[in-house]
Amino acid sequence: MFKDKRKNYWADFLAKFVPEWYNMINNMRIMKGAFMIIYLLSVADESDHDKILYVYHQFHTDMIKIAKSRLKAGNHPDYYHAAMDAVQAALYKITKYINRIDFNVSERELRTYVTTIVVNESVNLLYDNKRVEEITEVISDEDFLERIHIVERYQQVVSAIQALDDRYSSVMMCYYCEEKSVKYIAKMMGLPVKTIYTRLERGKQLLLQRLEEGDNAYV
Amino acid sequence: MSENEKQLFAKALREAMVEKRTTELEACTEDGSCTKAHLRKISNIIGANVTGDRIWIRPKYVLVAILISAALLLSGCSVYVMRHYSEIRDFFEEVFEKFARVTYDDNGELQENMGGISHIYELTYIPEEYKLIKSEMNSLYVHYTWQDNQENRITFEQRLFDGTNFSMDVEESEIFVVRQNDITIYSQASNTSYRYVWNNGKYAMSLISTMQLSEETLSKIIDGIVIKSA
Repeated sequence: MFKDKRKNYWADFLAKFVPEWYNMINNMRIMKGAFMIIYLLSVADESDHDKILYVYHQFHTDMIKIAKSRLKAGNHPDYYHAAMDAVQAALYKITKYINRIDFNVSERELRTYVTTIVVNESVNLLYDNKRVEEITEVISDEDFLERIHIVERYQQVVSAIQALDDRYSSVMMCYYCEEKSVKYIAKMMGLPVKTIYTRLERGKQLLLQRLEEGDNAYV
Repeated sequence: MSENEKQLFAKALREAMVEKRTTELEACTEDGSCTKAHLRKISNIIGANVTGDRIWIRPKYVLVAILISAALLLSGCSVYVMRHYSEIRDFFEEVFEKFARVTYDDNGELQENMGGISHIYELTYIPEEYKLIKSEMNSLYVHYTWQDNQENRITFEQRLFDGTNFSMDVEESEIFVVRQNDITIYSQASNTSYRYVWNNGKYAMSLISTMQLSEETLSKIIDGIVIKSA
């Protein structure tokens, strides 16, 4: 006869549990299949991840610089931290819609696209975007192209676009150059769809106005 | 014509914007410095370590690891219970904070006990000074009580296997496991009594004494428990 204290059931449990679990993993095909699926899913978006990393490493510094510059010029009270907020928002959107961004362009064009998104975020921080401008005249794309006479005065058009406010030029760039839908542009810029339509129309009006003023200057 | 002009306008737009941004960046006097907090947020947004810290794991991988670990733990626990169910079923001990409970449950396998106790046990050995003062028998349990001149008592109980449980207060005492031959006896000593609980494979049995029994006496009592002759 002997006496011992109450058995340590937890020690017995662990001693039996660990080998059981190991054998179960080796034998269960379902678990192996699950691991394979998880691995494939993680590998599937690796190309998108590479693109995101490329954008960050190539353009992050420029994004910070341009955001600080814009917000400082706009007299934002805390432009240093607001610039980082703008860059974070821009990178979030780029990451979210990475598969819709065309990487088959030059680095300069890609930089322009990325910095334009940052500029938009900076503008959103500076201005009240809830106020929707009323447009008095709607110009169709056919009328616009007819009136702009792009073939005859290409360089003038380029100069006029450069002088255009970023709020309008960035929307027009996404719509005409990237050929994105208005709904997509609204999501990317964080603006209502109506605002995008308004800015497209306003951009066309201002461009035509600037070109006509330029013509009148030579008269 | 319109399509050609549209493409030309798109080209002009692209060229203008590229020139505008390039000029702006070249003229920019701001630096690209940023805070550590900003880099941490960027790390989480893009799913890569840009903080320069050594330890950083992509949030997606952390979530996947947690889900897999939880699934493995749950499945492992269920496999263990299934494999050892018979052991757990026949003998189960719950340990709570202040008391222990010993439960015997045959889960209906002992057919001979279906209609109640079929074999009544009796003690053939009791210390000389003790006299039987009470005996009670029915289909559910058997009870004997002996008492000596100093009013010390020894009580023996035989019960059915099914769902019998003994609660032992361990707040101020401990439970000891005693083994005699092939029998596991749980013994508990408190200020007022000494309790011994065991089963013989067919019935749950307990012995309660108001004074401590020596090992020799306890051994003789348990060895002397036999089926009562008719």
